[in-house]
Amino acid sequence: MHDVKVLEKEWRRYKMYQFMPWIALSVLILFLLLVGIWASYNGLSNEKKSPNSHLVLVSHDILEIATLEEKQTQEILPTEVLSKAEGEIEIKESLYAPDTPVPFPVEPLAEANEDSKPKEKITLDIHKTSAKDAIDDVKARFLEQKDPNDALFVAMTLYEQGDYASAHDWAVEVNKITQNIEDSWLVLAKSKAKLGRKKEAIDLLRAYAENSDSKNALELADKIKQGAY
Amino acid sequence: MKSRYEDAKNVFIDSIDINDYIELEPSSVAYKQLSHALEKPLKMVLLFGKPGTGKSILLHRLFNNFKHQKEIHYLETPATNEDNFLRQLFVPLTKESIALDAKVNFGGLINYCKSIRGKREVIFLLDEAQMYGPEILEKIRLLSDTRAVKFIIALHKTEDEDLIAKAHFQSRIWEIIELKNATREELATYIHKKLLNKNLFDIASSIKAQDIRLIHKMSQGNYRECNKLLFAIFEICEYYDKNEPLKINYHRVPRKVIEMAGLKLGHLHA
Repeated sequence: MHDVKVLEKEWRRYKMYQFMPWIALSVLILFLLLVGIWASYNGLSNEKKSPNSHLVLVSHDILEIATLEEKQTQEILPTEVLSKAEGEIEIKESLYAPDTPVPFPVEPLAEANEDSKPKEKITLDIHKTSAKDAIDDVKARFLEQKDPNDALFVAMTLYEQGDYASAHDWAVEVNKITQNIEDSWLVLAKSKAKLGRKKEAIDLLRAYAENSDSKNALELADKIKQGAY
Repeated sequence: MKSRYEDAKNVFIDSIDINDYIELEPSSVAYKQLSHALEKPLKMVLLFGKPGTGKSILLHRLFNNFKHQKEIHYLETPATNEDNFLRQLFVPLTKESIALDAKVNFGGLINYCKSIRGKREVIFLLDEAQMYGPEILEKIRLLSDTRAVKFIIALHKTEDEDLIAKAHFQSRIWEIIELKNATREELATYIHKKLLNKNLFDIASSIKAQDIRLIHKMSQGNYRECNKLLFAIFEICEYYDKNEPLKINYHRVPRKVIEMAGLKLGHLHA
């Protein structure tokens, strides 16, 4: 019996072929499982931020928010249409509440949304330590991967640096991808307020608050109304 | 030093040895049918089945058991031509010798057979009859019509051969016996009995039901294939026993070894 070693080799090859379909199936199942976990995690985190995935309100006055492609100096009229990037929000005229002074607590934006937005918290940490190069890197990454968290990071950083027009445009970019990140709406509104478009900012925040029950949005609207921005 | 597997291996050498015959229910039934057919005034009995189902050993056993009681002759190897075939019949029938250059006159042989009808009954067991050509088959038919000669014909079961047999012998065949491949249980009995007959109790008990299932699957219940497979299994076991004893489990034949034997014989493919 001189061919036992050859037979052993042949047997190992046979077993490998025998188990190949099972290995392939296991890898496929593992892959699908990971994709499922990733998808459910993303879906869950977005759901937490806004219970209403589609914000549609009936209105005869519709606001339009400028996108990155639009001129930053464009003058926005109250009767213009909101861009779809901002969640196709239509605002009822009745939403224009009378000016009533409401006291508001002053707290940093990051802290206000700390519990519900772990991802935004991470980007804020980055923001604190980032340099201009870091922003450029994140911008480049965003253009490549279209991750709304990257755009939000850029928007918040630019807002902190006082570049409100650019912060506004980057917040719009976030909203183009998803309308469920509250911080994006807040930065957008604050940028608008800083750019002198306070009424537009207040309307935007109230519309958002009505559909998401966001206390932060209402508080910010009140702050803007009181001239804090 | 002699390996314990060497004897086990030799048990499964494929040979027609009447001493190694294992009595199983289907073969026992077939044997009884054949024995009974010999007693009847039948002209022809057809024994058919796939190669390796035990036709030859059954004929061999029949011949051995009846050779002192009846005029029975076992033609194990088919004649290459008609002349040789007639010579093979001539000597037992006439009990006379024939010169090497002489040729048997078939008409004379028929007349001789007719002359002994009722006085003698000569039985021929023809193995591997599928190898006979149509002319020889026709001669067999004519001889069997004399009622002095009885043929028991064993042939492989294929569609063509079955048709040949039916076409030539349809009106003459009185008994048809079919041998089939073994069931899993029959194969288990066969393997264990084979080993126990040689007092290889440990090795017999080292072949478990799961092993039998795999062996049956690979051999499809064919005794010849089973013999070849078991021979290869014990040959590999013998190698390990002598050279790499750590790889062998004496309480159970490793599945790996069975699969290696299957690969060797082409039952499995890598």
